Amino acid sequence: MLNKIGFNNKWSVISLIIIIFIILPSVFIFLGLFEQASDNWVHIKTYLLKDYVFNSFILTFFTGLFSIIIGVSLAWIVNAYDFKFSNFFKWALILPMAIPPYIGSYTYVGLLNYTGVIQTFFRNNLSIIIDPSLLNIMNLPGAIFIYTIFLYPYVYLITNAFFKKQSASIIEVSKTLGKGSFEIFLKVMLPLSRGAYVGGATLVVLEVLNDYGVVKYFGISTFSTSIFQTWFALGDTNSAIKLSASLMILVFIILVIERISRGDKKYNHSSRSVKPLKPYKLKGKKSWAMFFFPAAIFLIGFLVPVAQLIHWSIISYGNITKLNIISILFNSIGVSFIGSILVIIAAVIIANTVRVNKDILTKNYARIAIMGYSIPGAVIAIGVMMFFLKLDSSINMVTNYDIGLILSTSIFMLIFAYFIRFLAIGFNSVESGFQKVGSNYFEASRTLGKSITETFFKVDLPMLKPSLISGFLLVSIEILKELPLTLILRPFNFNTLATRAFEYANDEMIHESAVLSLILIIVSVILIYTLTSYKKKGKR
Amino acid sequence: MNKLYKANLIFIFLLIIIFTTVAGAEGEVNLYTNRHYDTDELLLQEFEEDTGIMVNVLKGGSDELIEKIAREGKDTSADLLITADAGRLHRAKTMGLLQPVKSKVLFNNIPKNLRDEENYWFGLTIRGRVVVYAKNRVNEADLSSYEDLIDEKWNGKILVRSSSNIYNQSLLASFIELYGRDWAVNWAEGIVKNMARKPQGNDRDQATAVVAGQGDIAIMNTYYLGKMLNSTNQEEVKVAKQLEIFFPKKTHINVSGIGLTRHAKNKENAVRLIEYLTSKKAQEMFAKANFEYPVNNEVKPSELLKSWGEFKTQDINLSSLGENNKEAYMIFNQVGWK
Amino acid sequence: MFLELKNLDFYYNKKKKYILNNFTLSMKNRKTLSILGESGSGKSTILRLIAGLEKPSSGKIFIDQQIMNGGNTFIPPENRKVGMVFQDYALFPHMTVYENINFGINDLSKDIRKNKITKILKLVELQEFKDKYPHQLSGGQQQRTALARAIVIEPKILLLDEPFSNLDTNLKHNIRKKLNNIISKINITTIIVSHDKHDALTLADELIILKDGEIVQKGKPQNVISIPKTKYIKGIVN
Repeated sequence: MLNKIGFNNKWSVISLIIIIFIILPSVFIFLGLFEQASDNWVHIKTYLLKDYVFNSFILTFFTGLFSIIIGVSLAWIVNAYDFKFSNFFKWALILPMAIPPYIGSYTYVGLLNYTGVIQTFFRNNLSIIIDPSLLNIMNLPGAIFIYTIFLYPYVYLITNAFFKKQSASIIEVSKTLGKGSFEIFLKVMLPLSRGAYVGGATLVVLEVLNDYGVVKYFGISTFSTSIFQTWFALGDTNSAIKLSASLMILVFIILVIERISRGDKKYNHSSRSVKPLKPYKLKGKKSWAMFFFPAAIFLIGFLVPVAQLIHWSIISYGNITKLNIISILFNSIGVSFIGSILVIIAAVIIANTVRVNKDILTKNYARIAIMGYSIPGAVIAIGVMMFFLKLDSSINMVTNYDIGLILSTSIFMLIFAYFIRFLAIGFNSVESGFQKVGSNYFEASRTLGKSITETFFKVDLPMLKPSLISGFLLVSIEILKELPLTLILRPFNFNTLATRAFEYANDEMIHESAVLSLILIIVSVILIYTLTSYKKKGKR
Repeated sequence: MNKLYKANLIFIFLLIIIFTTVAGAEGEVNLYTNRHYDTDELLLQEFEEDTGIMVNVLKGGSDELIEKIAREGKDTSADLLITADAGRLHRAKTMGLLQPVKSKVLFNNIPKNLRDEENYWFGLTIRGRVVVYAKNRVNEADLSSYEDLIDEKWNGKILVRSSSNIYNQSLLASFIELYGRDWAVNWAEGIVKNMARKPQGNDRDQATAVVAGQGDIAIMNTYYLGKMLNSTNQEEVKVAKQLEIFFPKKTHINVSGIGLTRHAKNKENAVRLIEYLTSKKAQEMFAKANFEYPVNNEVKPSELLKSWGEFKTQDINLSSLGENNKEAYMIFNQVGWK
Repeated sequence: MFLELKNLDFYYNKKKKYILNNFTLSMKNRKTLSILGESGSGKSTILRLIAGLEKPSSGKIFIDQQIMNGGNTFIPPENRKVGMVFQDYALFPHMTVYENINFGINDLSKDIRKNKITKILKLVELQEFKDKYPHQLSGGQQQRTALARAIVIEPKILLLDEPFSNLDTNLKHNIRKKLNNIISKINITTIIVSHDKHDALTLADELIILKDGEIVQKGKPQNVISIPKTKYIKGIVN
């Protein structure tokens, strides 16, 4: 039994083509695995590997843990209580996500170091000299702080959505059993939401493992810096691939842990009409006390860095007026728009194929689709580059006319890399959309004489719209912030907000980078706002 | 098939065409560069206006760019490669990515020691990797050479960034060339012992840390101090003013330089651009804006650089920075210089 | 025979656990068959196999002498002309009653469609509700919309999957009567799957009791209910 409905349909064919395109670049990389180990690899193993493993482990573990603590507790507070500005916090707490961690790290270092506002203020106005090592964040704990504060929204977003769907009766029942609200959170809601926050924390962990900017600046060696280092500085492709492979094994272990800790249990409500959680109204002092925690997180994760960037922008604006900011902005928005559209189209095609064809081969499509998110950016970049160069040379051979490098010098190569990297995010949104819609409507339409394709456009698509739009927005935000792929794969004369901001910061011109960082953050905030307001509307 | 879907396909296809037609026109030169300074852009604009040759720029890390040229092979779109380190240019040369240029103008503009022996690459600007110290705490007389930095008296006083940085790698590479491997190992070990803290941050952060009292001296590139003195942040200017530059005996210098790629498609234009960048006119702007020393002898350094004084440089061929890079990298790891 | 199921096997890949094992059934044209059984007895699977929503592991299905399934043949659901009313009705939430009914016949000309839908709306007594959305309807109205949508395509066979399970008990009686009325008016081959004997009694010409994918008793509804063969059957029909 190969599959259940319609073995030979166009959906399977198109999906298969997409899947092949996703796999091919990785094939180019892993062919290198079978080459002989170089003497560099021995050197790396002796002196460096231990550090990479240790640092990567500490960073991911603690960032994951703290993200869960902050993300889940914030999600619970805004859902369970009605306090001062709680409606504002509901979406404002997502905003730190708009700030790429590397920009956050430059900002915080600039803020806290000797020439920063804080030390300067104490020194010049109060004549108090603070021991600089107290405020030094360029170390492991500092990196954990930066990652946590700018990445916890992944946990918050998913857990928040989960709590929103929970039934009020669960809480009411717990209350009748004599449980206090903290105990309800700890003993009922926390275990219930495990799948949600573990999923969010996995995203956070993968982001941390992939990050390059923060650890490079802080001088912490991790897998991602070491892959860049061995690949480019030592020129040792072979060892870089071995490191990538070790990283992938690590990622694989994390994903297995995720599977296990999520468990097979699906705590879904059997009945459709659940009475949603109603926030408990706090008054007076209590209301302000509850205000404090989210306010502090919002301050640290968003207001403070943004204020610092505004300050820097004001003092450095004159220096960068020569830059064509409009065209840089246009580039950023352009690539994220096209990239996200492609991701969503492919995600829909694959998710629909997986849903319709239930055979084993197709089931694996889903896994392959999300593979890109766990491959380090540098590895994807090289794989995609090799793949496109190969494509170009075959084009030249087939057309028998030496037209040179057509594809690999075009923006298409970069967009394709985005596509592989972020398909996972789009796919997850679309897949959960399909799950929400279920298969009943699909089947009903089929018995009414409609083919898979017609059913898709007339029935599935309208119902999937909210998931498609939120997937689109999430991917857009990611592409907007993306750095390593863009740096390596962009064509001539092509700058994005992220690359330009990074270049300035990397040349130790942090003030000059502020304007671009700020624009990048504003665009992300607009996208996040659209996302949340759309979700609200979508609920009806 | 649905209309929307079709429309998207057409849209994407159009984009590919738009972006690919940029390349291939006449009267242009394609530049892969590791320098991202705004002044570079102004210089290139001026070149475009003077000559009518369009300059296409692709920025990136020097290693990434070299890797890209290598992968692109004979079809590479790069005509020129600029990196901020001579060692990298040498690597490009040994990988067979560059070709020699014979130009009297260049031989005239650039002294022999600042270009490749076989003229595969040419220096554009010079920077020194020097010692910066706190005026109020360190007596200049206590400073002498790089070797002196591993003396016990500097225990817990030295600030320097991580060894993954190319400037540190080239510094150590120059020692390997001058004094041999053992000397270099000994030196790196000594510095690690004398470090005030684990290496972190960039060169500017080292300077700030000196003023903040976390250490007394920092190893850093000259131009960063120039930048700090001209910073938009008044606090940074204050910091820089409390610091002084010391040129060790046989100061280690490095160049940012340029090379013509082996498979360059616009060779003539490319050579014109190199000549232009080393010309008197361009060199003045080049060096001044980034507080670097010009390679062209006819151009005097800026007032600020003059005020730092004259200095004697290491007598080595800069290609050796590239030859010894890997060795240096491994020594750093071996002695635990993070 | 109008509908023939021959030696159908059906199992899910994972555990090789049979849902149906060598299942055979045939029906004459314009008869109504009722299938009773506990949940998990395989009764819904039979409907889904007839509709083409599942592929049997082996066996053959014929509708009106035409092979639907068997050997290398597999007619996809959209080409089978089988109308199905789903347990939860599966009314498209983004379409009105009118649009829902129109969905299956939208390739016909406008006049014909209008004519057909008007007739059907009258039959199911939903004329005033044609511009309402599914969530604005009562359970009975939703059910009749689903029925209208299924029969407007003039199917060869009508399949009803637990048509009353989503309704309040005190309303069921009335609704059942209405449905019975409509079905007898349109007079096509119908299969009703249920776990409630009342459905069988009011609607069916013939009754089948299903257990673990096998027919355990078969006959006129009255007969089966008055003389159950086994304890299991007794439990179901009482």
